[in-house]
Amino acid sequence: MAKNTEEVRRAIEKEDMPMTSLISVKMSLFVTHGKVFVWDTDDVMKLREDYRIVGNLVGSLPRAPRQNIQLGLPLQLAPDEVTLLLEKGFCELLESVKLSSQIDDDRLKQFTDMRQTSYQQQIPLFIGERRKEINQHRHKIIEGKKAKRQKLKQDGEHDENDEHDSIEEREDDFNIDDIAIPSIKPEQAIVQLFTESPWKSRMTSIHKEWQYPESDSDKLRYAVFKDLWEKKYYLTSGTKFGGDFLVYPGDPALFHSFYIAVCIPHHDKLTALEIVTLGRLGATVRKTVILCSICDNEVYYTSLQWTGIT
Amino acid sequence: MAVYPELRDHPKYIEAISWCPENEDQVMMAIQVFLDLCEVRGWFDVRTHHCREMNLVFLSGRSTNKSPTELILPTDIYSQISPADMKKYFSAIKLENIETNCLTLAVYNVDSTIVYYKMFSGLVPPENPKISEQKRRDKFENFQRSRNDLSKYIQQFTDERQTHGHS
Repeated sequence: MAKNTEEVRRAIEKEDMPMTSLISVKMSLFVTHGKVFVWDTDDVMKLREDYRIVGNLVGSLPRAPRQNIQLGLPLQLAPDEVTLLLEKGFCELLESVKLSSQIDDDRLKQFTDMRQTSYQQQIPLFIGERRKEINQHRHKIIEGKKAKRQKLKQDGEHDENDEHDSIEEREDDFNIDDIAIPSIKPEQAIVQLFTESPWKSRMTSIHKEWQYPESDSDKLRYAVFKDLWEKKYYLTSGTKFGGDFLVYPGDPALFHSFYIAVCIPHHDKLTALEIVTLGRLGATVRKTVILCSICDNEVYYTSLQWTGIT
Repeated sequence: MAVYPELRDHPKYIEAISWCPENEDQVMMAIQVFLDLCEVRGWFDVRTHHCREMNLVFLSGRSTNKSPTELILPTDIYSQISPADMKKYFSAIKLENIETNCLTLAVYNVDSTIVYYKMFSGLVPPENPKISEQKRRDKFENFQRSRNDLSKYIQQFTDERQTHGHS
């Protein structure tokens, strides 16, 4: 299968203009309908390990498509993460020019050809697999045949059918390797999922068009995100715990989060009751709630903790 | 704000109201928090203080004999506090010789329920689970000890009554 894709890609690259300037050493982030995705496993790991950017896996796993407990590529990035990566110069934002427009006949033909070849290659593979499976269960199959024959024999006695002897003889000659295996139908064939666009060369950089953050609340969010990131923390979305961010002292896979960050404009009022609500939330999940605001161009933090006095 | 006329005769109230006579609600609240800390929570060295800058009464005290002094700001559940206000509180509410980035908010409800929440300026990580566990164990041991002592005291009391009755 991999070979197949390679062939297609080579064909495409021959046809298209060579990519030199756009695909640079910077990691590529791909924009689709305003959302930013990473399609490469190595990039995902690099983001996490080198840049402390976690993101969110949103794709279904090709080998287990009917569950959503474990998700796979692509990795979707939050706007704060994208802006930070662009600002630090780690990544480049690319958008496919042609993805949105009508696909041309050439492309369509290449695509259907590839699918067809892939399907044709799968037929003998599938038959081989099935043959192996039958062989593994050959005892069960033979036993089943015997049982069936026995049943036929009994029924035959009731019906006083004289022909059953000949049936028995015929089934004695039964050879397991003679079982016919139909080839798979096209709709049952495995479909190649691309984890990167094979038409990479039609990407354009849209770094300048990336506008986040624009609103005041987004600016506050981003300032807090950046400040905590620069303090060497890992951040993920805080929606799970009713905040803006969850702040981890290390990789979220290895650590519990320390803080629930709640962004609030410096002069916005909270009632004492709201402070109790936030403080108690933190206490129940063993985290500190931090109120984050901007004062004199610096992020100001206030930590809230329950005293344990009831 | 619930008013308890008998509290007006309390020496602490008389002292505090002389500091900020125009802020009676807050003074009344502070006195009730003061009483709660002294009589219900069993705190040590609870004192009232005047914050001139903010024109309010705050408290200091220690939750156990060994704990460091904490600063307590009495407030009611309807009061509105912004991060800017918190910053102001941290800089205004201070005592000499006490270095702390922590202020305990005593949230007072009209039914005199009081809850205490700590505010820190800056990032304060949550308590290490090992320390929490140790604290829980210590608390349990204290409880056991005082329970054991209780039977001893009851015995002592009945013994004394008996001897007193005989004499």
